[in-house]
Amino acid sequence: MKSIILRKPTVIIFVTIFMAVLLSSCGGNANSSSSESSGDPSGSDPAVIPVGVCSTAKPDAYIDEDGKLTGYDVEVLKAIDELLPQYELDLQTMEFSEILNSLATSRVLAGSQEFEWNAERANTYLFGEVPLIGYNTFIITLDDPQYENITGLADLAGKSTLASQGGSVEAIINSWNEENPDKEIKKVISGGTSEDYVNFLNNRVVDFIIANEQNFVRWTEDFNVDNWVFHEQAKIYDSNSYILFEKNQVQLQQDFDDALQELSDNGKLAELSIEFYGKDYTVH
Amino acid sequence: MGEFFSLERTIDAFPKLLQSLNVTFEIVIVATCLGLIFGFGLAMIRLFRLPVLYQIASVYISFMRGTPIIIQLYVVYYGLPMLSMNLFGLNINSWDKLFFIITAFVLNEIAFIGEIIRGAILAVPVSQTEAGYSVGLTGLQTFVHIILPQAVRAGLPNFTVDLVSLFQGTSLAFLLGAVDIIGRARMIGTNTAHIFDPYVAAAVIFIIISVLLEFAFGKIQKKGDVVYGRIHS
Repeated sequence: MKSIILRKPTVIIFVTIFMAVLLSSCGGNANSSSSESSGDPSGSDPAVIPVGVCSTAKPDAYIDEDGKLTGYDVEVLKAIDELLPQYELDLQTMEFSEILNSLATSRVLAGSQEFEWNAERANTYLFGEVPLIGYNTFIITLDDPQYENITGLADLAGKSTLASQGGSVEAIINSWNEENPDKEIKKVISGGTSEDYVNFLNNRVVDFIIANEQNFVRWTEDFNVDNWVFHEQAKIYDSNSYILFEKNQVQLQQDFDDALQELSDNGKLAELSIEFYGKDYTVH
Repeated sequence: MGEFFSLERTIDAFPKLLQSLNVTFEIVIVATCLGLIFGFGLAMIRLFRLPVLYQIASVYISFMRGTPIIIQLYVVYYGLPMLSMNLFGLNINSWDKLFFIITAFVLNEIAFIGEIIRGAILAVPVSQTEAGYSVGLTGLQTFVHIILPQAVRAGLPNFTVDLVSLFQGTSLAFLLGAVDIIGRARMIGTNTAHIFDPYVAAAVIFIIISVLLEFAFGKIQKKGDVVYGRIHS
């Protein structure tokens, strides 16, 4: 090193100070409270429970024009929070796939974004037992005579559909293809946004989509779609959505289930469903 | 299907997007400042080839420059809490997610800016150092008054490119839930059911910022040329 002229001892002293500052700054820069994030409440202070939700999944979980986090999933969680004084729910917004990653790494202890049950998820996460809302999914196609009499996936062998990464449609199609190798259905993977579903189907990038009635109603209204057909006779299966928990949070799951059952019994869930989806899709 | 693009909706999105400009600026300013401070230290380690630290610094720089920023974001976001719990028993999961995002960008900038500084110092001819010694200046005086100003001038173009690149790189922060310009654009798209318009508005904002930065640093560069000219004449 010829063009630098600082003496080596000076540099060594500087570097030592620099390392000391670097190491000490790693420990000291927090922006929020240091409250416990434990699922086991103790003492008089409520235990803070980090919960993952989306912020761009209208009307399940989104930020409205006034900057307020709201949506069916969010309002249900807020109602649960009121019923469980031993907990304080810290709703953290993140991408859909990050909710699952955060649950798997215990960054959050619960997550809610209309999670349907499937075996893969059940291996990694703990499902609540009380349904959040009914989530029966059906086949939706363009208004095309070739799809007029379809009754299920068997009639769509060789066709393609949209599946979001980590979503339940991907699991449905994987399972179908494993059990029916001669009637394989192709998956087109995308981020799974509403725009993806609408654009991919309208532009015939995929032949059909799988969604529930809530989403069908919302997408057709929001995007002024008038050439879609909701095949009521082509139900994929009866399904519900649930709140997910980190694998070991058994007590938390039980407490949430008790609160959710109370909200179902007193009509609060139905009221929220009508507010956000226009109809009562809750499970009775 | 509804209109795909509307100029009116795009213009409406501008003031809403600008509300989140502070988050983008916060990431850039903190990452750049800490990148300059610790990047200078890293450059000194590499220039003086301090034993052990040089090897660690080299591996660190290779990792930071050889991996996409998105990987670094995820490593810090998920890895730091695990490391903190295992090493110190401290649960930092409840810390603001912006802390993790900024930390990832800081670590990235330390590597990039460190190399920019090292290259800039190496770009100054040895004769300048010798000239400083020959007129009786000490090592520190020569570095501060002769080497450093020329190194700053030499490194400015690369630093400008890095800064503009950092601004654009912050667009990935939304993946971890930050409400920066892109995060805000996604929210507007969700609420209006038209995602294209806010993204066009966000693109315009990014272009304006990039052009302004390049213009400002171009002016500084020209000013440095004038000063440099006077030293030699």
